[in-house]
Amino acid sequence: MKIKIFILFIILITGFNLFSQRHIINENVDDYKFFTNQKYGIKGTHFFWYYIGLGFYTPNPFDNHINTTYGLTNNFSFGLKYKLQIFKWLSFGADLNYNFDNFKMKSPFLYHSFYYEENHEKLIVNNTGSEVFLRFFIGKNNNIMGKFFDLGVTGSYVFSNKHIIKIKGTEPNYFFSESQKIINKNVSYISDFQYGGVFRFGYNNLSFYVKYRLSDLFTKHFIQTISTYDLPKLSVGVEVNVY
Amino acid sequence: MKRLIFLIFVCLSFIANSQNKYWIFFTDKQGSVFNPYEYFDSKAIERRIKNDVSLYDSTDFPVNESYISIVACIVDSINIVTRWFNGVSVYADDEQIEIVRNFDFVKEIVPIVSYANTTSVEYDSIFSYTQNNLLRNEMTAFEANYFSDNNIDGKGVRIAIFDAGFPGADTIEAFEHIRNENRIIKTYDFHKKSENVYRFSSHGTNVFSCIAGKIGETKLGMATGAEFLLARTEITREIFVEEEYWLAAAEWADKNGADIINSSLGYTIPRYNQSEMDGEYTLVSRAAQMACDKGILVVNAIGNDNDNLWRVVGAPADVEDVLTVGGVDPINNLQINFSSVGPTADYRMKPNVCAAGEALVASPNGNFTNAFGTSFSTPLVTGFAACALQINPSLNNMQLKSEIEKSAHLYPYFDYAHGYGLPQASYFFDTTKIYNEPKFEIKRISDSLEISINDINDTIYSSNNYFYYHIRYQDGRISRYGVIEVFYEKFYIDISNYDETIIFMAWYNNYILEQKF
Repeated sequence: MKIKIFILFIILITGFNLFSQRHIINENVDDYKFFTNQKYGIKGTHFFWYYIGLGFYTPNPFDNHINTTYGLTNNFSFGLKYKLQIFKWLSFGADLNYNFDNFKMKSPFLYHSFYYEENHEKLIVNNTGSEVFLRFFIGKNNNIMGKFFDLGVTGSYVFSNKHIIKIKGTEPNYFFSESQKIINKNVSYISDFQYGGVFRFGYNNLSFYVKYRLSDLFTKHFIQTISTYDLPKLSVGVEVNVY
Repeated sequence: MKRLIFLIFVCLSFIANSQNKYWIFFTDKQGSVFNPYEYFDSKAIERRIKNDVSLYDSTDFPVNESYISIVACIVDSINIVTRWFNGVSVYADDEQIEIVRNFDFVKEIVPIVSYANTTSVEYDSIFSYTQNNLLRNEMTAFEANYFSDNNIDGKGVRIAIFDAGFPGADTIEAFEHIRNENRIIKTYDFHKKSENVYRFSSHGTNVFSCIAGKIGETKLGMATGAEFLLARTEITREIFVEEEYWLAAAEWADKNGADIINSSLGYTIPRYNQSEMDGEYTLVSRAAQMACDKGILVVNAIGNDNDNLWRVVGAPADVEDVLTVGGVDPINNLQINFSSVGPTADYRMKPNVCAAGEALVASPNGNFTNAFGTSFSTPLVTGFAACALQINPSLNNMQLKSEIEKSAHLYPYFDYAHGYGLPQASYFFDTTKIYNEPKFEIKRISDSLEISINDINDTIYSSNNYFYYHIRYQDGRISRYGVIEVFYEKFYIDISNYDETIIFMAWYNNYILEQKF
């Protein structure tokens, strides 16, 4: 047995030596593209990066909207952005994103009734979308993103929604006297498509945005027949870009 | 709504009026009065005469005080004043800069943004037997015994070290021999505007020890007898100012008679991209070139970016006249994995030479540890350069650089990982290089080169078993280079990709061959 192991060892060593005349360093300088090809990179022609954002819906005088609890009515997003440099001072951009909108109603909305002493409503909207924007660079920035502002439009598809209602009845003997939580999934009164405009300004990794939803979140029919109001449309927030 | 408007307003004003840093360069130095004998240290005057640099070079004249005063009234503050580039760096907002821009005496305003890296990597702090071997490898790679046997220790040579702090350099035993002889001539912290450099990052202490550290009779560096100027130019919290401080420190070193600047620093991503590493684009590179023009030998680390996307030399190591140092593994003297490579963006060779990329260094607490990075290869070469200058005091800075290159073990073979290789002290005692008898032959066979080794070194894993080669175009650019570990008499190198004439150059066992194909 020992002899067999020894022979195997010898074979391995011999094999090692047979193939051991090897390139320890093998560098092809002709493959270095970074001296001439600035196609990709933060100031290159093409650049991709990830971002996450957190925004808050705010009251605004432009439209009639349902009162929501500000701060708790917010928006979380993340996505992949792309920039195509056109001039030193201007680039065209686009992104693919996922958005999570959370509207917390301040007062009873759909389930308003004298029979309920407490009524909390929340609407959650999950959507995926895209944004196209023009990015204007301010001042001389070398190999960093530097100062910029964006003007863009956004569009998104709502792929799921939830209307969550928590109620407690006033009448002790009534059916709803105990606390109840009702979850309505994928309700029909939320529009499938949303669109809006965005203004963003920032420096390097950090940017602040103001978004305004031009479309109604609720369907036209729902606003005409039941609600008359839409949910807040203006949101402000911050994005962290990962370069 | 009001709150929202207020928030947007605040954010917009943050962007629009945020305080920035700028270089303001002036058109002239009208009315400046300059007496070199008052301004320069006597060693600086000596160096200038030796290097044939005028004592009345206009770049040394002071910046016009009235220009500075006018700018100072408008901007928030002035950070540094540069005689060499006739300007000031300032903190100012956009409005203030627009006002300054309108003055006739303002030539150019350049925004400053930069990110700096000290060119070292993390190290552990275990002191072990292997570190004795490490120190021996560091020194024998340079044949440092030639210097120590002949009492050459850099005596009379003045070295400026630019780094991030020198804590412990004023107390620990490793520098006692220098303190006892008052050979720390001057110190200055360019960030704190103070003479106390003995605090903050220990990187400078580590680097200093690789030039001149000594415990008993054991030397950590070769220039234990040199004089020193210690400048703190690097800071960790604010990332925008190091290049300015580098420039200010270079002027300070020039004024105070430095013969050599050791800079274990590099400026790369994200401020710059590789195509800008042409030795001229960055301010710090222009400052380093100016220091070279004033007769100072600038020794700079190539960087530690080979194992990331950047890969190549940073600034100011990209400057033609800077002696750029790459790192090698102290065991086999081959490129250490992190050591950046050349060439520069305009395809000049870098590094010029190389040294161990792992070194034994002194820590601020008086202990010793092994440290990795071209930060530590650089001071080893700086110490070597000081000894070479002591032997040949008549050499000017460019002659010294050239002699150090010629002394290197691969010279005249070169590549973009090792440069000319490890400088050899023996060269400075006998400049006649003895090359071995032919050790190999090259023959073209179809699309390959057949390499026939005449005399295989039978010591397995000896560095003499390494066959270094490069293929370069006729304009001097290397197309390909490599190192092959040799165990058999014949092997082949593919050249099928080349239609044009190429030059094949190789080094094996101290024998060099160059052939056109």
